[in-house]
Amino acid sequence: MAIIVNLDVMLAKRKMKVKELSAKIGISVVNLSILKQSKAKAIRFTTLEAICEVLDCQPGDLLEFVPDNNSPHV
Amino acid sequence: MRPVPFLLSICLIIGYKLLNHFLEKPYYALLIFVPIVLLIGLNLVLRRKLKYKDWFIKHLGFLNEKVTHSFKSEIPAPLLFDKILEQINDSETTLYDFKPSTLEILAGNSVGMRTWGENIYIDINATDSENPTVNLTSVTVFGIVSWNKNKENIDQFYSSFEESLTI
Repeated sequence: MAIIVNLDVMLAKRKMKVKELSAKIGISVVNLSILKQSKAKAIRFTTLEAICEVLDCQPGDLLEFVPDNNSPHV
Repeated sequence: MRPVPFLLSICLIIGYKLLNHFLEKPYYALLIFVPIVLLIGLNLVLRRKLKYKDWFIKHLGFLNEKVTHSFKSEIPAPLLFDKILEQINDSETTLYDFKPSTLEILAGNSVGMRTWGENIYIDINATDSENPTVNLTSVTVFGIVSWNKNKENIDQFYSSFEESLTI
């Protein structure tokens, strides 16, 4: 997985539970858990904006690119 | 008026009347149609429980149309189970039964103009914990022809599941 979602790190920094974030941004706990585990196919800008607003962070704090050894170099 | 499978009911009545007309004794027609009607009634009662899955998939296989589709997912099995439950609740499909211990779900579409309804059996095979396999089986509750509705519903379910992974 080349893009890692650091939602759990940000949640820990803000001392917030997934359930609380879910209630604040209106996205289900299941979907946030999928996102947290970097298993989502894509993330909407609206979702990113809502998370950044509630967690008071930048998109870069949530998303990280980790080069995959198996992926071909373009 | 309750939503009955209108076309099939009409066919049954016409068939009954024709048999009644051509057969020597009227009760011959009843002997043919009473078991059919009883079977329909039984199926409508049993359809909402997971424990009767084998009845629809195996024992009654010759009378039902069955469509299957499997796909692999990267989502861990317990989370995938919750995700599919959530997906069913957000869709027009009705959730009938589920069993977290075996990761099995039973959903279905209700009776309509051309169908007695269908059951969708979903089971998650977690033997490969990294990439669990989801098996979708759509079975008509009664009827050997689904007018391709089973396949359409399975395809629609799968594509909406894929879409829902954009969060």
